Amino acid sequence: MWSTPLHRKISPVTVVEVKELPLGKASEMGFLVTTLIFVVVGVIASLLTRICCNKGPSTNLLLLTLIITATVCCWMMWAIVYLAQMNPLIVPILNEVE
Amino acid sequence: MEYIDNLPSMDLMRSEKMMFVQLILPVESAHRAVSYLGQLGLMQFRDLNDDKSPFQRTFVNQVKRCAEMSRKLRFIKDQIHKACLTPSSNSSSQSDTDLEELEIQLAEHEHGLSEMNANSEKLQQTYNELLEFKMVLQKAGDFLLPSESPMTGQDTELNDNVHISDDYADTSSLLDQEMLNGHSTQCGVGFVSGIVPKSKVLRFERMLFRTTRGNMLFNQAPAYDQILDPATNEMVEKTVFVVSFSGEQVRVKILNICEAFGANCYPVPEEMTKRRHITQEVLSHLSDLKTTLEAGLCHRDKVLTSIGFHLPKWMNMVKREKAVYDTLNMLNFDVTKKCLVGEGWCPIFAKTKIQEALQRATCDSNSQADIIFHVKDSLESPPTYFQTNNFTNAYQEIVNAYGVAKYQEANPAVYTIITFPFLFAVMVGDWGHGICLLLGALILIVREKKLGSQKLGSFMEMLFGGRYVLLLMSLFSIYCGLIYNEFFSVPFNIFGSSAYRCRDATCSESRSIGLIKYQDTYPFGVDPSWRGSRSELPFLNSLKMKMSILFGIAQMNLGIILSYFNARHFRNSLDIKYQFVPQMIFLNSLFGYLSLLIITKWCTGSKADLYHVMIYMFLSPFEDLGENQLFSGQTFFQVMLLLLAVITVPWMLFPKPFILKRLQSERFQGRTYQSLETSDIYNDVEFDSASQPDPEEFDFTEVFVHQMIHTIEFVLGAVSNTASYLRLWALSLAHSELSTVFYEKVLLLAWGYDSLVIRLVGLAVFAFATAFILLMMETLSAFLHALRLHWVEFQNKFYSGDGYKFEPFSFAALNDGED
Repeated sequence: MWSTPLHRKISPVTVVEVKELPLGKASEMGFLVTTLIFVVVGVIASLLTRICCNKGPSTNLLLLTLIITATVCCWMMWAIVYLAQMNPLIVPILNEVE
Repeated sequence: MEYIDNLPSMDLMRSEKMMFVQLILPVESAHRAVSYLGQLGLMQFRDLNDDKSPFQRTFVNQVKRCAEMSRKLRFIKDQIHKACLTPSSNSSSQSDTDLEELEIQLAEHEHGLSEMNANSEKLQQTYNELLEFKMVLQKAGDFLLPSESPMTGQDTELNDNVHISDDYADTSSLLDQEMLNGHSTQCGVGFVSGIVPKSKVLRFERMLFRTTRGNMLFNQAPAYDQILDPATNEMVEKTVFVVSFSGEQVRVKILNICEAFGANCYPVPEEMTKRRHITQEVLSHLSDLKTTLEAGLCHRDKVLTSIGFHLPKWMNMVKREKAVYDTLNMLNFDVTKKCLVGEGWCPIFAKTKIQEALQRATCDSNSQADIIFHVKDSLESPPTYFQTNNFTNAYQEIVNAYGVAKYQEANPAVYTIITFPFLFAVMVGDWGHGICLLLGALILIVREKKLGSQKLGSFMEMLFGGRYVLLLMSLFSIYCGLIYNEFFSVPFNIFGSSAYRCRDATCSESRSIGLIKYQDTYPFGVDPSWRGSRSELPFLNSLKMKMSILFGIAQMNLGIILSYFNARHFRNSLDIKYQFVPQMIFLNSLFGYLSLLIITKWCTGSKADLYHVMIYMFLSPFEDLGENQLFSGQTFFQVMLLLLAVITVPWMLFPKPFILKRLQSERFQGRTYQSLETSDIYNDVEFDSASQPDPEEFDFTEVFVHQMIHTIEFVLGAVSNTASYLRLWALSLAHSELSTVFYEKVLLLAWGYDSLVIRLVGLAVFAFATAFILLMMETLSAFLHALRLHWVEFQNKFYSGDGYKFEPFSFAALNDGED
């Protein structure tokens, strides 16, 4: 479980030539797919709150605002971290083993 | 845009619409009407008698009576407390006793209690004295021997004969001889017996020695029982003493000294039989007194318990009556002296409820005249009233701590509910710590009812009040922890394997050049390969700094958009055209552009240096970007943005004051025509303070300076606020590093040893460090910084916060306030 690079053995993997999408395209697909997942989760959450606590139009609007804000915040956080790792300029350089 | 207008209003977004009302209450139904309004709790009365002192007001006598009654109730409560009885809380709301009846009852009870107390005090004192007498008799008897002199016929209590104890054989012989020489004469030897507090015995003896020049004999023995000192209500240790002396003047001196030292002197007969007789009497007296005292205490306890049953209800009633009379004091008598006139604010939605309450009051008090309730216009700004529930209350308090919203302006609390815990989580970002916080929050929420009725310490009360904030903070912390991939600083491979591996089979270059990325990006969060690598910090720092900037720009844009909605609501098109638009353009052309560059750099993987790009955009905008180019036409685009930003500054600064001045002069010109025709109306309106701006008061310089300050604040603030968001990076880095240190240098180090003791000690130190430093200190720190980001960077874009809170006359608020 403690899988820090310090402790785990890096098993050498032979690079297999696989006919698949180049890295860039696949990353973009991953990005779009996950964004879609966030949107769907947001929609489901707002529908759930509409079903569970339906207390009048003004309250509904407030709950909708809260859910949209939460979804947007969470998506932004994920998207930023994902985009930053898509085309990295530096790579992990392992520490010297003592 | 009409779509926005047609949307239903959002619950918490703007404060409730208020109306200013005037009430005319006939005297007989006034009291009842005000108490029903107090039960409803939706009307804030304005104090019409502001200038009068408390003693000049109408109902000052009733208020005094209520104050007197509450004093008596407090006295009774004290007595109950002193008697160590726990008052049984009687929550049944019986029919309310009349106030006058209650007053009479209270007076009786107080009188009775005082008498009982006085009696029992006297009894207790007598009891004490007898107890001391008993002890003196018993102990002093040891010092005194029965006299064998034939002069016993003259036995009075203060006998002049000498009585010697066996212990003082050497000194006794001299006195014996003296005894044999002469019988009791005026200058014979006498003794004084008594009891003195143990703490004073030494000084007492020394004083006696000095006064009698050593011609005395002091015997003492400690009393075996402690005595209750009625003054201090404590048990004091006392010492029995017998002073033998010779001479009459010496006796007087000794008695004075006894009095000075608080020693009680009791006459002890020397004869054994007589002593025994008196001891018996004293003992029987003591037992009698004891039973009397106990019976008295029992009776008092019964009385107190029966009163204590009703006490909370009575205290409540008296508090309410006092509040009602205080409110009645705020009303004015009208010219006919038959009605009371009151003014106040109430929310518009409460109109029917209030009217119904007033109707009930008229019926219940069998009054002939109806209560008149009508809406008036007011020129002062209404109070701000947000209807909050348990969940939103904490956030509203957070916003109110900075400043109460102006009437009907956009309430930042709506967005704070989500963004505040979220920014907190960005700074904490560890799902292990998030789980601990979640457990704490769940405990507080599950025991809500129990903790809510208790009286908590100030720290626990704050924690309890913010339990829902803590819940959201913990949930977002878990989310951010999963993204940062930190569980007590340990990364996991929850979402698949890492995207990095060695370049070749031997992994020879993994420590010099590093791994390479061979698959798709790690799907959720930071790749676990980064933890522990040498290039971890450069990567994470770059990521987190850019993330902070992006969040900052997003939140500030939200703030400016809220200012648009405010201007729209107050129909202030001047603000929209000359404040919202230039602000949006300025912020986005500079820092929005920076965000765009960041995202483009990430998407394309270019090696452009963004610092360089931004700085040289200002220093030499026409220069070729070379390798820092991210997209074609960038130079031209940058020049355009720079021009736009420069234009917006005078756009924000100049037009608004001039237009305001023009509008003012138009209004003034119009006014002079109006006032000739409608002068009578202006005479009638006397209590409305003229808050229409006086035309001469419009000071152009002041308005211009105000606008300049606002512009400078925004322009400089755009840079400083954006940089301020970097605290998100700073705190997250600090948290992660602290967590790493505790994990690696405490837990792993201790786990490296084989001994179980060291491992346990290491675990304990790790647990304490995590709990106190990370969970408490870092949490507070992140809370504070997230708060600052909201209060300053978010709210100064749109919030004025200079309103005042709606404080209705409410019985429920009374109970909360006084507890």
